[in-house]
Amino acid sequence: MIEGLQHILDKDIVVSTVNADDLLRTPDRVDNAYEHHAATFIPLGEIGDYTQRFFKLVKAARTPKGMLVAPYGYGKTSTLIFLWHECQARGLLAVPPFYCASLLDILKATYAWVRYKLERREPNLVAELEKAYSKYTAATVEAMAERYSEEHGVAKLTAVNMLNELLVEGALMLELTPANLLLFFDEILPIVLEAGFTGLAIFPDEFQQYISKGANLRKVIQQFREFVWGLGTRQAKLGVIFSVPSYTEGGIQSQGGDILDRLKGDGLYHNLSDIYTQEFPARLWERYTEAFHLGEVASQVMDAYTLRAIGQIAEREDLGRGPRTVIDAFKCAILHFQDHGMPYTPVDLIDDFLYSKIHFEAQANKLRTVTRQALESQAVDTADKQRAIKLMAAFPRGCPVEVQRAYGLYDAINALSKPGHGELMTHLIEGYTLLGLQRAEGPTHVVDIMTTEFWRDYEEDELHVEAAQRTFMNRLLPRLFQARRGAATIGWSNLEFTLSATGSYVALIEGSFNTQYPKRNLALQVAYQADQLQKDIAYADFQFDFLLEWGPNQPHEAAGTLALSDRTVRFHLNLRRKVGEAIPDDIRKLQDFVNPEYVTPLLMLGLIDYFDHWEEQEGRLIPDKDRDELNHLINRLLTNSIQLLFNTELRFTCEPPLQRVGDRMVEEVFNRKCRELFPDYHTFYVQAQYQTVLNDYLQALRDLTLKQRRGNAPLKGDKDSLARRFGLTSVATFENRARSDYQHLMTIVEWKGNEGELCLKLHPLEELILERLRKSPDQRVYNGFNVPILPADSVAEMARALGYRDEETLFALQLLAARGYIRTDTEARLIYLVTVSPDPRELRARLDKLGDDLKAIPVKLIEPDRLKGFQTALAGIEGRFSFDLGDEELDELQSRVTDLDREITQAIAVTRSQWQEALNGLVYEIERTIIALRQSDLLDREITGQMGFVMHLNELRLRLLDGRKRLRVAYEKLKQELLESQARRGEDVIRDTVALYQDVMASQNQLAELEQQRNTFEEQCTDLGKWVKVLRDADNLFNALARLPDLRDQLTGQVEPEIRANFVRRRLEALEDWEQFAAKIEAIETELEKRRTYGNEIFGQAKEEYEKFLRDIEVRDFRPRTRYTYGEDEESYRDLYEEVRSKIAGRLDEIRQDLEQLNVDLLKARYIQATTGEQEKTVRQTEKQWQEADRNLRHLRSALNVALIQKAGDELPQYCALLKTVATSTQEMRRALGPVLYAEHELTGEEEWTLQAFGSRDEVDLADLFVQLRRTGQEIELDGLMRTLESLYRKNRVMVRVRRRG
Amino acid sequence: MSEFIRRLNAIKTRWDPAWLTPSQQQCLIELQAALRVPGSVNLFGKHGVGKTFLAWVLARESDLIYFPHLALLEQAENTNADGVIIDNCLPGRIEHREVLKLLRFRGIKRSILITTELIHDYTYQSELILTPADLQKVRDNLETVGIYVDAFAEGWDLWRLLNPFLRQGASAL
Repeated sequence: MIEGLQHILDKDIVVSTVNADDLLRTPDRVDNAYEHHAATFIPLGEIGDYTQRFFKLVKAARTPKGMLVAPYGYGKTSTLIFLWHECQARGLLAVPPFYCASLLDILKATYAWVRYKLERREPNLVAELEKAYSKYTAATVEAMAERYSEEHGVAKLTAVNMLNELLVEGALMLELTPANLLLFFDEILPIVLEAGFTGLAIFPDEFQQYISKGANLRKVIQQFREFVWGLGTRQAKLGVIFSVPSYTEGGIQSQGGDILDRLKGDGLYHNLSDIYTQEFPARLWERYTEAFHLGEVASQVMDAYTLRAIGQIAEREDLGRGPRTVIDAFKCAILHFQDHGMPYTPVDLIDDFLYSKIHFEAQANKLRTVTRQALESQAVDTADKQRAIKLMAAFPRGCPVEVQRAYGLYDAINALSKPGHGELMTHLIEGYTLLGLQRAEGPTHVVDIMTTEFWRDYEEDELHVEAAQRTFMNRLLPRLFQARRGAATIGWSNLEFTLSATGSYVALIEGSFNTQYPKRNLALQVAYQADQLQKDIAYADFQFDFLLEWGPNQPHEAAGTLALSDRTVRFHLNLRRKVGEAIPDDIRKLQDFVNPEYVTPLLMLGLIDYFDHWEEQEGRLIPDKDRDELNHLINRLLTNSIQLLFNTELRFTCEPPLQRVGDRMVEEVFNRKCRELFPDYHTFYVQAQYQTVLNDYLQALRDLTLKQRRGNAPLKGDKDSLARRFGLTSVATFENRARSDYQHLMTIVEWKGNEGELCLKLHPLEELILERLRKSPDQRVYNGFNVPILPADSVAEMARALGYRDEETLFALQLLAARGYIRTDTEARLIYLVTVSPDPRELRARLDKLGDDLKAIPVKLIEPDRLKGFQTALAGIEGRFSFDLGDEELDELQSRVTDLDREITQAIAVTRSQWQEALNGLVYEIERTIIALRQSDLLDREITGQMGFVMHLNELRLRLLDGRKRLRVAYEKLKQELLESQARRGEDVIRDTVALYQDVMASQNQLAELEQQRNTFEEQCTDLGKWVKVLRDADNLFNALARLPDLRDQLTGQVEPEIRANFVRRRLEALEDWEQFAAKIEAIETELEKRRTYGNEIFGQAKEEYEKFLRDIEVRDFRPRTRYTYGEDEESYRDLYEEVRSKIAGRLDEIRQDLEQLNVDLLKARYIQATTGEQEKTVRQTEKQWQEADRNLRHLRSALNVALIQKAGDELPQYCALLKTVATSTQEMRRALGPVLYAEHELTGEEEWTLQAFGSRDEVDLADLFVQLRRTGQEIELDGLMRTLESLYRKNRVMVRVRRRG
Repeated sequence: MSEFIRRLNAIKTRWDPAWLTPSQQQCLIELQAALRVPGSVNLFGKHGVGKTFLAWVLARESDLIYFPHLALLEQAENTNADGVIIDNCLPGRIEHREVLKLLRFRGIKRSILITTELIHDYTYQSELILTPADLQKVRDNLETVGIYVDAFAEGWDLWRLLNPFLRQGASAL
């Protein structure tokens, strides 16, 4: 066996798609398996370009997306595997095609494969991938755990752990949103690129599982949409190609056509079945020859005719399965070649079909069936004829003559054609083929089965008539009596048939075919036996009977009949009417399954009923892909049934003949019947919104005079106002309404330019009712008069007979009442004929009132000219009035009075709003005032003070408080009156407005008075405030005058009594006098101040003197700080003296310290210091000087006292002079001793190196010094050192301190 | 139950390929022809028509390994065989595809999948039926091993033949 042929034999026909778990658990096996398959895939058609385009778009970061569509078995998975393989070869990280039933599958599969690839290329990136995967699966686990914990009351952490366990076990399916999936891609794509791949490609296969397995199709489609849209918004090196079977494409199209459009946008939307044409096997064999190096063997295995035959069979869904059939046939051809060494012929091909070597998919194979049937024919009586049958079977498009000759079967085919043409075989354009194999339109497999099953059991019996009757009621009649849409007048209510006592089915419906006869009540009756029909079905205007005639005696050619009687339309419909010689094209398919002789409405309607109940009876579902076709067939069957039943001959069976056939026939009959039964009917249901239209008319009547309402006087005016009368703003709309909807209620007399003239009229029903009423013999007393009456029921009955609905009758009565012709007694259900006109007394009263109103209107309320106009108009009306006027004149006058009243009211209403505002302003102002009056610290708190007149102030305060209260009350009252006036709102606008005006004016006056009072009050409060200040000042002054009795007496003895006397005398008015008394108090203050200033000056002078002394005696802080307090002179001066004394004492202390120190220095100089003779002399002299200084100092100390300072005089200067002398002496002594104490002495050698031994130290321990000296080589003894130190001490070169140890 | 075990053991120890009924022989030819090329074949037929016995014969006569259930193949770690026979498979398309995937992953190129109704997928199919002639052959076969059965009507279930107490459609396996 040539290796290339073996490859073809080894090729898998069915490629099973792996799922995400396979990619996770055994990616290497998937890799091997798919690589193996890809190795033998030969791309045909546009697949090569498609792959290239996809790769380019991924590389260009265009995020391409697309879809492969084809029926089952047409190589979607194989093509995806090929794409995957090619993408891998070009450096993409391509996820192999995987079974995709959810978005989570896409996530898992992508993760699994990326991990697999990364583990082999860049293992260090795996952790990052894991992180991304965990994040997005964790997110869904989080969300689920939260829901779970809420629902079941468990801790969220517990729920998370539980769900994770289930996830690991595979018992949990997570949900993933499209957004999260896209984010996952965003995260892993950089990882993929970093690993060195040029992009990422994903191939979700069997995507119909995702679409069809979703619980909610709409939600699933929406998720898909979001995902596709999300891809479209990205610019990533990522590409996704979905694959779905053809029927799923239809399903997506219905709810998500935009998604498919989007998928087509990148040019990657491909229907694979386009590839699999008749030429496909030849092209594939050619490629195989090339790919597997078959060479000449290829043509030895099979020839071009056989390849063509395979193509013709494989391209037909009802005969083959596309590429699978082709591969199968190739395998059979190779095996045949292997076994026999002979080329594989079309006859061999058919043999393999017959012996199931080329298999089909679990359903009946038409090729096999038809071929076997043909072979069993008696005409096929030779081997050549058998082969001829098989040869024709191999070419469903027709076997060309050249092929017939090539296989030596031309004669055999010709021989068969005579007996077999039309029985066994048929001639198509290309040649003969078996009858039954030519391509036919129409329903697909399930429908074939259903039809076949129906036909198998079909008889023209009562069972099938009932089935046909069901379809007639449930499907056919609803097509004739189509449902009403919304509030439309055309259309019918739902047909709901119920079984009657006689065995017929009856439905009562309401609606119409015709806008002129809306809301008709029809009874529809369907029966298949005449005795089942009921006569005169109640509540219906008339009835349609449909008698379905079917018995064996019913001739097929009978057209049926139509009988019209009083209130019945009876159709005798022939269920057995045949379609004629040929089945119509649109249902020609039926002849494949049923005998055309039996194609009648009975069969067609019965078949529809069978379709309708098949699922229920068989317990099976009709596949989605067949449902549309089925519905299409049903519609065509119905159409044909209607045409047969309501045929053209039928229309001639009534007189006069009908014009229409089919479904319009019933409508025509209906219209004819309506015209016949209701010739005088003029509908009120003029349009869908008839209630609004009629109400607008009724409303318009209210504002018209009696004459106008009754049509005895026209309505004239500009078109806008006319339209507005009838509730419309558009003139065009009103004109339209007048001409159509109101055609029975008004006439347009004139309609030119901007002006129009209309004349109302009574509706025909109104006329009729009025006429009947006027002629009624029954009478009753009404308002003292005998008036004719009619029972409401009789009116309704009369109207019904004419075709009116009760609602219309009611409206007619409303119109008559509005026009003033009738009154109704709803309790007694009677209608009265009355005249309705205004009471002249009432009109007189109105005129009088209007006159009074006009007189009452103040000038300010309305413009004088306008007021005059109103008065003139009123006078005009009064001039015409008389108690003897007729109804219509009175009505007209009343109308004019009403108009005048309305005009005045409107004019007043305008000013009313202005006065209303004014009133509101007043109220607001008063409220503000009241608030201001509420608070006052001054009045609300008791005034306290030392002065006696404080009690007067408090008394006045209380009076003012009282005054405030009264004011507030007055304001509140005024406000209340205004509010009441505001709330007053009667029906009489004029009087109300006048009253409002008067109230406002009165209130303004009152308010002005109150304002005046308030101003006075405010002034008094201000004065009181001033008086409180006066009191404060007086109190302060009183306290300040504690040491100035004369001034104090002035205050308390003169001024204060005056104040009190003034208050007693003038009471509240005394408040005004605060100023004069304030001045008096101020005068005392001024005097006080004057005195204070003088005292201050004197004191200051004394301080200056003392300062001089202190400076003189060199006191450091020589400036006295004592302050002068007016009224406390003695204390002030005493303090000053004491301060000076203290400073002098301090100076004495300083000098004492100096002397002490000098004494010490003297001792040192005398007994310690090394001195010369001269120096000793100096020392002795200084001692003497010291003693004297000491004596003087003692003296000074003893002489120092306050009296000395206080006296000043000469004693103090003398004292200070002596002090200076002592200080000077002290300084002199210091100067004298200085040279003695700090004389320079020559140092001996010992003294020198002893000092050197100190080094840098200022202090040194004796022992250390001794040691130091010894170390430096001085041979010195302690005694010697002591002596040296003493000498240094005496020379003032060292200091000696002695410290006790311990 | 002991009678059933006795009968089953008798058959298992002493059966012969010549025991194949005419229908089984026809099927065998079809199966062998189909397995000339790598691929999968669906042997289907009603319960008790003799599919399992045919599978036993085929397993012995060829290098195919017989698995009473798919689960046993899934549990087997290595299957060094050119092909397998898997009994009691499910006829659904999805289940069929899962089996094909498993076979591909295991590198098993040839397989016979036995079902009670034909698999709803694109695959070779061979139907086994039980005719009166087949029933007579079975009776004759059983007599050679000392199992005597009463005459039975067409449509009899061979499993019930061995164990009359089995409910209709139940397999002794």
